[in-house]
Amino acid sequence: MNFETQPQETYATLRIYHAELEPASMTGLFEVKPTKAWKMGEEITVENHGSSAIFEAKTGGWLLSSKHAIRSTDAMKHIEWMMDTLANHGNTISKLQKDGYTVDLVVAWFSNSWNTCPALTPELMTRVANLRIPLWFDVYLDQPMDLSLLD
Amino acid sequence: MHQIDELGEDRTLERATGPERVRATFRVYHPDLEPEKITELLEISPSVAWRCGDDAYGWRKRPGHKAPSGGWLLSSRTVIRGNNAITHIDWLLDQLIGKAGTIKELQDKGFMIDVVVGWHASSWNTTPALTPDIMRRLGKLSLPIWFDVYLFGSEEGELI
Repeated sequence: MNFETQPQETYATLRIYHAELEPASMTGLFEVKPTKAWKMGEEITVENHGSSAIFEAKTGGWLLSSKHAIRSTDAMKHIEWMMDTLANHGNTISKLQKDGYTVDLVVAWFSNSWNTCPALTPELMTRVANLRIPLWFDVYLDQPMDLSLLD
Repeated sequence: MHQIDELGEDRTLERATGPERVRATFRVYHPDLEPEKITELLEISPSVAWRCGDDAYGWRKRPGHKAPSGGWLLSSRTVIRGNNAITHIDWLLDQLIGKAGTIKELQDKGFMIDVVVGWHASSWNTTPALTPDIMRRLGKLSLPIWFDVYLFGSEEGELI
């Protein structure tokens, strides 16, 4: 990669959603504590631009973020950490998807320029594809960085 | 995309991923690149190609600008209508079916090869997405991918 691809801040979040999601069951399946998890109908506090608001969750959620595990502005290091963490859980993810759970990987990308270049290597894409997880780049340009779900 | 969505709703890949304009470009660069040879190897006509040192090269064809390297580009920009990035990348990868060996040989010889998705949006926040199938296809072709994201119509220094 011979272009500047590093943002000011980046992290990857595995997101699992389902109306009947039980956070404790999900934690047991993945053998790792989530960064954030909730049941449908629970009240959730959302921080945004220094203020907070409480919402009733319309579905259950289980989120695992690289934000506090990886200190790097290289998005691929965050995705690699997530792939390492999920390495032995391909069957679990596949079963959850068959049962109607939404599973995806969001790469938050905060840059202070008008133009930015998130990138992926073929090797890393193959790892993500083998776990059958769709990947998003959630790109924020020239924005304050307190939009994080996971502060 | 807003946090409330992330917390409160199931979202599918179809939602909130559409830019104002998108295109995918397969790019080959090398100082010694000869466009006709790449065309012959890949059995595809490029959208645009040039030799190192050519004047008025590439898409812009600005007189007085000499190419620092040879280039061979195949773009979806004039072929695929619509702003679904996956459709543009799919079309590009369809053109390269059966060429994994050729691409690998060129990479081994030092040719820089990648796929760039130009993504132009008019919002503060935008969301390029990749499906597992697209990522697997890119992986099998040994192709790195970039999202070249532009907001509010700025195209200064556009890569493709």
